[in-house]
Amino acid sequence: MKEFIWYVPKSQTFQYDKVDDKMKICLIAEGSYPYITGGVSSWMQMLISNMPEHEFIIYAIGAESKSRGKFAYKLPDNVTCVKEVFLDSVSSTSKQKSIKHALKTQHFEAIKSLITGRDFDWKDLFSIFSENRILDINQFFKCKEFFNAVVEAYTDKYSGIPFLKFFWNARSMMFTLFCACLGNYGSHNFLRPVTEDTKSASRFCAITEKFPEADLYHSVSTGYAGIIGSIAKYVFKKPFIITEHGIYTREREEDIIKSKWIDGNLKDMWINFFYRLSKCAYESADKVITLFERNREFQIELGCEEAKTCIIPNGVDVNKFKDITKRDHNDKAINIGAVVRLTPIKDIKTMIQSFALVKEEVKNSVLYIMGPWDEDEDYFRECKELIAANNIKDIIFTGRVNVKEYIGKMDMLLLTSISEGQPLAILEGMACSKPFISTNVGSCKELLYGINDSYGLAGVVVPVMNYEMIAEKIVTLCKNEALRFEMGRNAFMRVSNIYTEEQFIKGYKELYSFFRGE
Amino acid sequence: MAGIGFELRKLFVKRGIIYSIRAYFFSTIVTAGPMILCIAMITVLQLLLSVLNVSFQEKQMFIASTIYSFIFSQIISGSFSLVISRYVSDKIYSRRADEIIPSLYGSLCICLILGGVSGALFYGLSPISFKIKSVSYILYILLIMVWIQAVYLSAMKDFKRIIKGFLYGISMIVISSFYWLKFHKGDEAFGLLLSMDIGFFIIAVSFFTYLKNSADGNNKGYFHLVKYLDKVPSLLFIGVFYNIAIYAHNFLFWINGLGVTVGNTYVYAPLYDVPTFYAFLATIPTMVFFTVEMETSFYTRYKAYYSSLSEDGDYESIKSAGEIMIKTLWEGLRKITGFQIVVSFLVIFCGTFIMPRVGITQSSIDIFYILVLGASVSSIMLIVMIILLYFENRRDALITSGIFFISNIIFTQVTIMLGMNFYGFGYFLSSLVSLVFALLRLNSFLKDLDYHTICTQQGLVDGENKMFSKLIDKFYKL
Repeated sequence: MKEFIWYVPKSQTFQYDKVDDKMKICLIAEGSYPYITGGVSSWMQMLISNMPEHEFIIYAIGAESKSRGKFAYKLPDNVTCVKEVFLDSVSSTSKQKSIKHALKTQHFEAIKSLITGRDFDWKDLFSIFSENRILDINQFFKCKEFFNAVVEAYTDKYSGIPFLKFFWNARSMMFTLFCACLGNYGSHNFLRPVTEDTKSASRFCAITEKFPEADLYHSVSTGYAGIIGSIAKYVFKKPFIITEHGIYTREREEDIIKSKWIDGNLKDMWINFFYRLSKCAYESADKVITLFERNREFQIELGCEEAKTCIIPNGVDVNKFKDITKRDHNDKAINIGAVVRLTPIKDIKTMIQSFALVKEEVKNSVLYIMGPWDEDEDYFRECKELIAANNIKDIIFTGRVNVKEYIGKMDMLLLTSISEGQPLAILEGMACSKPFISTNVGSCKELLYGINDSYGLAGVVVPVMNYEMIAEKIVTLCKNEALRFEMGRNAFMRVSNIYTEEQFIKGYKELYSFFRGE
Repeated sequence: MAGIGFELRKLFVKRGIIYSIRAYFFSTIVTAGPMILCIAMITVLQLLLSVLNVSFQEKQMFIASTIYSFIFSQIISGSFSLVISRYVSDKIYSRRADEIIPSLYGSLCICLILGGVSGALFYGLSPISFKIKSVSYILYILLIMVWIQAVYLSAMKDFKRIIKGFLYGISMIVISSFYWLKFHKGDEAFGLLLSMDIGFFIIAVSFFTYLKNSADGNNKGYFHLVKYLDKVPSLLFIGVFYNIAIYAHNFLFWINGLGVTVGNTYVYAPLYDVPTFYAFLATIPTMVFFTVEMETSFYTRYKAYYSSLSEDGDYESIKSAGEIMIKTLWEGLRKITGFQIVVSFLVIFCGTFIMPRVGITQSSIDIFYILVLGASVSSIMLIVMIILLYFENRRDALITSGIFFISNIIFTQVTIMLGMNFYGFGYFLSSLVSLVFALLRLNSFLKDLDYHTICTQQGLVDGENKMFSKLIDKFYKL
C-alpha cells in the first residue's frame, strides 16, 4: 500500500485507552461530515459520540479542496484521525515519466468498461490504487493510453456525439473517481482537533502512515464512498458495511436528468457511472443498512442482494428536548418553523411561495427558516430575491442557530424537500411535540402517519412542490389549535416509543460487535 | 442527503476547457521577405559601385557597414519576432487589441536598448571617421525599429502597409543614391549610407505613425509582452537560436583567417559572405510560395480542424478534418520542396553565367553552389519549424533550432579545418540534419495529432515559471 500522511498532535500525549471491546471503525463520508451540517452529518456525530468505546477514523470526501480543514463539527474525542480527500484536485508525490509501464492493458480495459458501462472486474481498478501504480495523476490523465481508452469507449458506444464534450465528461468522471481514491497524496489529515478551532493545522505535525487499516469499514453512502469502502475491503479483507440514508443512485439520477450542463446522451453515461459505483459497493458490502422499508426495496431493485439488507431507523434523544425554550405567552403570532439548510434540494422557494399564500389568510403568521445558507449562496440570494419581488413579509432567516432555543416557540414545523431519507429534522420536531407539514418524500409519511401503529397522525403529508396544497394545510393547522396540540402529542408518543436514540445506537452496536469476530 | 451532485457540476465547469480556434500567425516568413528584398537592394547598389569604378576602400566600407547593420539588427529583432507575432495574434483573438500597441513601445524599448548599447560600444571603440560611424550607427538603429514594426504589421496581417512602406523607402534610397553618386565626387560610402538612413527613416516613420494611430484605449501595459514570455519562453529561445544560427557560419569564417578587416573595425569574409548573400536570394520564391500556400490551402484546413474540435464535431469528423489537413500539409511541403529544388538549380545555373562576369572569384562561386543548397534546405527547415509552432509543438521547434545552432557551429568549424574545398558544406549539412529531425518530429506528432491537441496541450501554463514576470514587476517597482 502506498504511504499516507497523517497529522498527529505535536505533544503526542494522546493515548487511546485500551478497552477489550474496542474496535477501530473507519467511517467513510461523502459530501457531508464533517464539512456540511445536515441529517447525515448529525447522524454520524450522534453515532460517534454514543460509542466512546470504539475508535473512529473519518475518511471524508469533499467536493472542493478549498473546504480543506474547515470542519463544521467539533469532532468527538474518539475520532482519532480524519483523512480528507477532494474530488477537484490531488497533488502528485513525484514525477512519473511512464504511466505506460505502470499500468497494464487490463487496467485500461477496466477504465474503458467503466466509461461505456459494460461489465468488468472491479479488482482491476482497485489494483491501480492499492498497488501504488499512479504517482502522478496529472501525468496519467495526459497519457496516450488513457486517451486511447476514451477513444475506444467512444467508438464502442457513443460515436456520433460531439467528441470533445464526451472526452471531457469521461475525463471528469474518471478524474473525480481517481481523486477520491488517490487523494491520500499530500492531503492534510488532522488527528483529533482538540479545540473548536479546527482550522489551524499548526498544532499538528505530519506523520507518514499507510492506508487506514481498521477493523470495520462503514460508508455512509454508496457512490465514491462506496468505492473507497470496497477498495478497503479488497485490500484488508475486513468487513465493509453501508448505511444508505437516501438512495444515492436515484438522487444522482434526478440531479443529472435535471441538469442543463450535461448533454442528453452523456446523461446516460453519468447515470450509468453512478449506477456502476453503487452496484460495486452493494456487491462488496457485507451488510447494507437503510432507514426504512421503501429504500430497502429500492436497494434490492438496484441490484443489492436481499439477504444483505436490513433496516435501522434513525433515532432521537427525546430527553434532550425536555428543557427547550418555551413559547412566550405574549407572542400572539403563529410561528411556522423550518429547520433546513438553504439548498435547492430542500426546495425553499416552494416554502416561500406557500407562505405567501398563508400570509394572505393568516395575517399574524411568521416563518422562521433556521439553517445555514453558506452551502449554496446563489440559491440563498435567489430565495431573497423571490421574497423581495413578491413583497412577502415576516420571513426570518435565522442562519445557523441552536435549534433548541427556537423550536419550542414554533406552532408547527414545515419541510418542503424534494428528496429526503429519514429526516432528523422531523424526528427532532416530533420529540418537541410539534405538528409537522412535510412533503411526501423518503420516510416522512411513515414518520407522520405511522405504519401499523396506534399513535395516530403526527402531521400532514403533502405532495412535492405543490405550494397551494401546502399553504392550504398550513392554514388549516393555523386555525385549529386543538388539532395542532393533538398531532404534537401523537408525534411525541411515536418518537419516544419507536424512533429513539437508544434503539438506533443499539442497532449499530450490535451490528459492529457482530463483525468484530471476523 | 450525502450527495455532492451540485458541486460535481462546479468541478466539471472549471475543468471543461474551451478550445479556441487557433489563430496564431507566425510572420517570420513575412519579415524574411523584406530582409531578402534589402539584400537584393544592396546587391544592386554594390553592382552600381562596381560599374562606377568607386575606390576599393570606399566600396568595402559601404559593404561592411551595411552587412553589419543588417545582420545584427536582424539578430536582435529576430530574437523577439516569434514572441511578438504570437502575442499579437493572441491579443487579436482574445479581443484585447488595445494591449498590442503598448507592447510595441515596450519591445522597441528593449531592442533599442540592446541595439543602442551594443552599437555604441562597437562604434565607440572603432577608429573609423565620425561621419561614417554615425550614419552606420543610425542605419543599425533604424533597421531594428523597422524590423520590429514590420513584425507587428505582419502579425496584424497588414501586408499592404509593409509593402507600401518598403516601396517608398527603397525608391527613396535608390533616388538619393543616384543623386549622390551623380553630383558628388568621393565619399560614396557615406553618401550611400546616408541615403539608406533617409530611406529607412521614412519606412520607420510611416510604420510608426500608422501603428500609433491604430492604437485605441489608454493601455499602459508596455511590458506585458515580457510577462508573456513566461507562457512561451521557448519562442524567445527559438528566435535567438535560429537568428544566430543563420549567421553563425559567417561569423566563424570571419574569425578563422578568411576575415578581412575594414577600417580596423569590421571583420568580414568576402570570399564566403558574398556567396552567402547571393545564395539567400534563392530562397525568396520559396518564402513567397510558402506564405501563399499557408494562407490559402493549409490555413483553411487548419482552421477547419480546430473548429471541428471546438464545435460539436464527432470523432469521425475530427479525424477526417485532421487527415485532410495533414494531407494538405504534406502535399504543400512536397510542392514547396519541389519548387525549391527547381529554383535552386535555376539560381545555380544563372549564377554560373552571371557571377564570373561581375568579378566574383571561382572559389566563391564554388562555395555559392553548396550554399544555395544549404539556404534551400534551411528555408524548408524554417518552414517545418513554423508548422511545428502552428501545432503548439514548441518543444520540438526549440530542439530543432538548438540542433541547427549547435551543428552549424560544429560542422562549419570542421569544414574550416578541412580546407577550402569543404567551405559551405558545414552549413548545408547542419541545415539538412535539422530539417530531417524537424520532419521526423512533425511526422510523429501528426500521427497522434488528436491526442496531442486534446491531452497534452491544455492551456499554456505547463511548467510555468514566473521568471520574466518577476523581472518586470521588479522593474516597475524601481
